[in-house]
Amino acid sequence: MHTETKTTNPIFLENEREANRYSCRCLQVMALIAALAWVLNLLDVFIVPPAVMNVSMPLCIFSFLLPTLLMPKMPQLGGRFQYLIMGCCILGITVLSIAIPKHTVLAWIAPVLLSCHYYSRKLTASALAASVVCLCAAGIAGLFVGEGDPNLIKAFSAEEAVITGEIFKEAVLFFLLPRSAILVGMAFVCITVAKRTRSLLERQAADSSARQRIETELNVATQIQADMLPSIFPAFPERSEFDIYASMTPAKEVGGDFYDFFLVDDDHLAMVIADVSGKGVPAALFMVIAKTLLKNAVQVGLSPKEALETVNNQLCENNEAEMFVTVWLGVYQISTGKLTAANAGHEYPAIRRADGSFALWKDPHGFVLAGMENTRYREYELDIGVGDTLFLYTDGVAEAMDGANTLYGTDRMLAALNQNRTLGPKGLLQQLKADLDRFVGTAPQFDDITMLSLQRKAPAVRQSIQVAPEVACLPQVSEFLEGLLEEQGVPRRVIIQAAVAADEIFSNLARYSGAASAQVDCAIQDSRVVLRFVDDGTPYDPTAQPEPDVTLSAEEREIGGLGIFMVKKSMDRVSYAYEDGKNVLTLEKRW
Amino acid sequence: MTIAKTREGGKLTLTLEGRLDTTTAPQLEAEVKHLDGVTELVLDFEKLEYLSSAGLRVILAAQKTMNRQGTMVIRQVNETIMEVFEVTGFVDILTIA
Repeated sequence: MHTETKTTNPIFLENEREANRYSCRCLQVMALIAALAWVLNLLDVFIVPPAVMNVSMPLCIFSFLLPTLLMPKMPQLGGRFQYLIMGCCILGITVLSIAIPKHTVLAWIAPVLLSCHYYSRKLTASALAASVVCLCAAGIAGLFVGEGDPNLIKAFSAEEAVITGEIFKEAVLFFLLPRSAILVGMAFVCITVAKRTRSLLERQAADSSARQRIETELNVATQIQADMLPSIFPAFPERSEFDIYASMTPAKEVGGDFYDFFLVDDDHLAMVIADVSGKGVPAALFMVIAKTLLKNAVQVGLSPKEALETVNNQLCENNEAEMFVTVWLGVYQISTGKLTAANAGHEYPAIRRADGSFALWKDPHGFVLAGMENTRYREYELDIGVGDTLFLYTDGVAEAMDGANTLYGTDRMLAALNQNRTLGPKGLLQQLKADLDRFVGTAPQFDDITMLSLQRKAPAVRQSIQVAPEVACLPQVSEFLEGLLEEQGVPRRVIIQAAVAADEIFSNLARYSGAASAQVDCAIQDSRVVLRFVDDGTPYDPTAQPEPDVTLSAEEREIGGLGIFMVKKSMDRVSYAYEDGKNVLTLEKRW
Repeated sequence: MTIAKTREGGKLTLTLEGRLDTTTAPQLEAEVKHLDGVTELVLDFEKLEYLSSAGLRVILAAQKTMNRQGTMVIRQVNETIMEVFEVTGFVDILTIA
């Protein structure tokens, strides 16, 4: 007990405030008892001289109630409030003890007992010392003015008003000294009890800070886990042949679901969706291992079947916790749309053919990973045509439940996926999640919800023209662009905007870049045209030019900067980069 | 681009057909350099498909000249070109009928 660091610990500061409140309440009760004694005496139940009571009781009640009256001042008084409480308590008991000494002996322990609430050595020592001094003083004073203690004055009859030295000596020696000694002894009993409650309080404080630390660490773990999954979309902005999107909504702080996708080489995209048994930290740890091993296996060139078999054996080693993971693993060949996949106990993928609707693809299932050593897996091939969309998910989707414990199920899932057949992967996942949220309502989410979707897209039409960077070559550029755009059925309005933009950019380039060669690329895909102007001239970023003031009068007008300004206004995106010693200006227009 | 000219006293009408861009703007520039005695310049854009900033530059120069010696009106502007005039604030400078 009684270390001085206590004042810095919020738990002990809170304890002090609480002890103040409880002490005040105790003193209120003592004031009530004193008042009761006074009333009973007035009613002649007690036989103390009324004069003694009428003087002492108001004084006593006042000192017991003073701390309660000063409660609002507690914040200003701070640590001094405890001493005020002790002082008032001792004063009240002293008055009581002078007036009715024989009944108040027990009350003397109250100050020490109350002081123990504060776990302060100094406060308890002060309370004890003050109590002993006041006990003795009150005892002596009581001999002269009080009701008279029959124990103290048994040697002489109450009528004898004169107190001799002998009686005085006897009173001190046989009564006040032993009473003080017993009070000191009782104080140590109180202190011992206080020590124990203090250590309990300390343990509770330590527990709560440990719990807080664990909570913080769990939050960090959730972040680390989220960061492990590729989450920047579009994931491959330079690849126009496919579109991929994935999302994971964890149920608890850290979950066991994961998805992954990465390019194995220029022409192969690997996709993984998996669900680790169990939840929380163990599942998350197992997930990290499984994800890492799977990625490694695929990246060294193993096929899905080989990768699953290898990783299964790796996971089976030292799997004392008996955890397992269901995995769907696919490697997609970007140029041909050929998907090679293997399924280790995971949900069936769903696929939508270009002009059809989503249906489950009942692929051959193998046993879960980490379930049994040397498990064999079967591999299958699936042709993903242009416009086809693949959808992968975990059981958190199909097994989501509403308030009445009805399962969402794959039928509802497919219906939601088929609501809008024009959606790409991102829109598809958002649409399904919204439908799932509507179904589940306010029911708690039991499992992680993880989804991944891949769509094969029509290859972009891409053509380039190499021209001399001269104004005289402008017609060549326009002819090339307009010919290609018309051939691809681009709206007339967009063709004109592209032609004006090309006029502005190319004439600028021809006049000022000092380039020796220039190239114009045009790519068309999905209602979007991307124009790229590449030249080897001096680095110059036209997009960084200040915008012209288009509110000036004819006389004040400068024509500079108007061209690029018009381009910025008519195109959806204009971006500049200096790459490999070349200016690259990219324009994008959608319709 | 082709430019047809009609002159009636102080009134000069230029009818443009095709595209007014970097390549063709010098043609119009040559026409509006010699506006001596012209007090009313009319540019007919009915058959003009589009224009780029090079065209705007020439139109601005013509407007400045005509501000000193008379009036300039642009007629029958199509939607695409009107958009360019609006974006660039030229609608406030020109008289478009």
